[in-house]
Amino acid sequence: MDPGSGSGARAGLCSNRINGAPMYPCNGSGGKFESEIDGLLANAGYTVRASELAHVAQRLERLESVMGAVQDPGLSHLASEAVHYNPSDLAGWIESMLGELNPGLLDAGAVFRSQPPPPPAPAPGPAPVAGSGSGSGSAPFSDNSRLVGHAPLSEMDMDMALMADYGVNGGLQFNGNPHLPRAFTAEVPAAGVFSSVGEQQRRGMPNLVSAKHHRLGFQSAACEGDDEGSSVTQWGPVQQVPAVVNGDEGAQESGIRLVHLLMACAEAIQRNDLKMASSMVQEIRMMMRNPSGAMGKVASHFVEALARRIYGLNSPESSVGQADAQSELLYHHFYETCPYLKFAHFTANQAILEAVEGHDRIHVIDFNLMHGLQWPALIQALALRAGGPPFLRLTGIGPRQPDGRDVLQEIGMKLAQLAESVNVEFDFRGVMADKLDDVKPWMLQLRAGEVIAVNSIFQLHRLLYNDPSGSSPIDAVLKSVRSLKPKIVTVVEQEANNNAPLFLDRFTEALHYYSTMFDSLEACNLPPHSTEKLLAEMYIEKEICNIVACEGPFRVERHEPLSQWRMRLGSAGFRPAHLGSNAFKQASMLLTLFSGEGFTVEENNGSLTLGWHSRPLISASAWQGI
Amino acid sequence: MRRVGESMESKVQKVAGREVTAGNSNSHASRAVFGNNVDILEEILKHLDAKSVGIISCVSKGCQQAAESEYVWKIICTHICPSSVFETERLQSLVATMGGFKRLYMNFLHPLHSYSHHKHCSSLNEDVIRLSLSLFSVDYYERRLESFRTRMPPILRSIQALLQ
Repeated sequence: MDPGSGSGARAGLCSNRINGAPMYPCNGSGGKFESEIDGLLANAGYTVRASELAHVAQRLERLESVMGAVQDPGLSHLASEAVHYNPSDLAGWIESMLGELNPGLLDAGAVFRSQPPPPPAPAPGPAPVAGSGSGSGSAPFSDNSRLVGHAPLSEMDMDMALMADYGVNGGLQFNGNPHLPRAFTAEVPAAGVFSSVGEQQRRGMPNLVSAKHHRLGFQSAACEGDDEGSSVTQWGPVQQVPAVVNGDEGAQESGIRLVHLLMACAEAIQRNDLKMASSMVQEIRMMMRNPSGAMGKVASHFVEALARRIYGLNSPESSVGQADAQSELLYHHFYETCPYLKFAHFTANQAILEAVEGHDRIHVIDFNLMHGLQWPALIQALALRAGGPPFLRLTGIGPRQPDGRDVLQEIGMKLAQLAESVNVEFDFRGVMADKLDDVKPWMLQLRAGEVIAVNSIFQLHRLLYNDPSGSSPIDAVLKSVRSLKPKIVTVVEQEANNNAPLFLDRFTEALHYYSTMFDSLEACNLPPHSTEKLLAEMYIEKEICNIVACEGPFRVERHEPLSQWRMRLGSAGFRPAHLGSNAFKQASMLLTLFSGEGFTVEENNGSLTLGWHSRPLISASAWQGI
Repeated sequence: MRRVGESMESKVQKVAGREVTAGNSNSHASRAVFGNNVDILEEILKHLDAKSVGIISCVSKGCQQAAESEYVWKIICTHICPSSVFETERLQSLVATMGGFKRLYMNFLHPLHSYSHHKHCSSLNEDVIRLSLSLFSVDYYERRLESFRTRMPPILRSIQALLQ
């Protein structure tokens, strides 16, 4: 608001208590003053003129009294269910809304109120959070105040900050609507009356009632000359009692509550208060009886991971590597259902192709062969290369299999068959190693005259564990790679910061990142409840479990953003090689094909980043030895 | 095989048009026109675009057989790609090995073309072709992997999901 305008204008817009007598000139005598108010009203979106405001107020008084006194059975809910507040008590009004959202605040005595608490009688209200969570028969809010924490104000600050964060960048999408819940927007009287009609409609009231309501409103408005001159005791914004279970807004608000509880739980773990953390986990699980869309799924994975951390349920096997058939299956399904890995593979292939142009003998070293899905496309592109295909040698690194099968050799043979069918001379070698730093350069059997390409898809972040002795496996590995003198090193990593030293920071970042990833998964044209979708989600769930529940050498998902990788690779003796426009075009086309709107490809100092609605998910870059 | 001349072409297309409207019940009509020489029908089809070939394949068993011939689809693909990329021996043998031109067109070239930014052009640009070939090779590989022996390769499934 413009501080230059008179106090009268401010009074008019803050909807202070208005008697029968208007507080500002309404018969055109204060022309400039009035037009200022008109302008301010128009900017706020109201098509009412300043001169009419007193009249509007009087009509609303009448409506209010009629609503309170109505006997008609179809309309009696207007008297009992509509909630009215004193508009001059803004602080109390805001606090009542926050109380709806987070009942613990009420009892903690953080803010004082002079009004009676909002009636929870007709609406389900915040009862599910309070009552069922604690299980005791006592008053609904007292249990929550015990659970919520020692410093309710600071939590509220955190909540507000979180709220603003979600509202602003839309990172969390509750049913596609990134805006703050309606409870936080100021309701103006004129709009407030009719939106309570909407509320009734959502609860399944027949349309007839709303039509009558409208007519009632207009009737009283049409009564001219009925100035009663009585003073208004209470009128103002009709409170929107949030319906937790029904409608978009309900899912949004329960989503926000979930996030609050998750953050509070993580904070408790950070403080080492495991008792409180475990009781919160119980509460979250109770809330999760009605999962609401993508947010609900993310929350369920996170709460299970938190439970694992609290109760120490993680076994080393569940967190280390992708060594078993189940992990491979999950990886494979994840590859197929979403564009992330296709983007990774095709971009890396393009970089390799451009780097090895003109060379006749190529040796590619793949840090994690898996099913070898990256390589058919490279073989095909080399087969069609102008000047004839080169001699291609592939060294695939992979972990030891628990059942003793030599998967590397099987995959190698399949790739060899493919290469033979398209007349590309091909040679394969498998190197079995559980950890990348176990691989020494002599194992790769380099030959003279060949140009080397090193390919690492989602592997380098596993090496970031800091040994107690101070050295990190990543330094050793980068040093060995540098000693191979490769022509090109392709690196694809998650664009996230899930390796912060503090657990709480890691948790928050992971929550943001995986919520975004789940949202993008929803857009991948997968039939709901299909096996593919479930398996893709399980793959992500394993990552989440690892980040949240594991520590030390077992925590292998230590994602770091590209900026930090740049520094590491730079100090290890590499300089960036720009990915060309071909890679960019190919990536954009790939994304157009495999998923709808939402996925974005950005070019960033020569590297490509795949994102969901401009929130980055995966980054691909290429490097050369200096 | 020699190319059909200009005046013949229009006559041939008229015949083909009649073929389409005749419908299934007139399969004896097709035999009357072409005898048992599917080759001639192939010669006709190679002048048409993909959609017409698809329509004709619904007419009768003989037409379907002709419409599925690799020869026809190779020519369709060659016509639709601007550069001489498709006319090289190497590429043709690669595509033939990896599953054939019909599969390439139906499952990769066509969907990519519909979903790309250049759908208003009748011919594909090189990027679309390159990407289709890459995806085609992954599809070929997946079909050979044991786990997918009996099912549709996932890469194909995800493309087909788009078409629904």
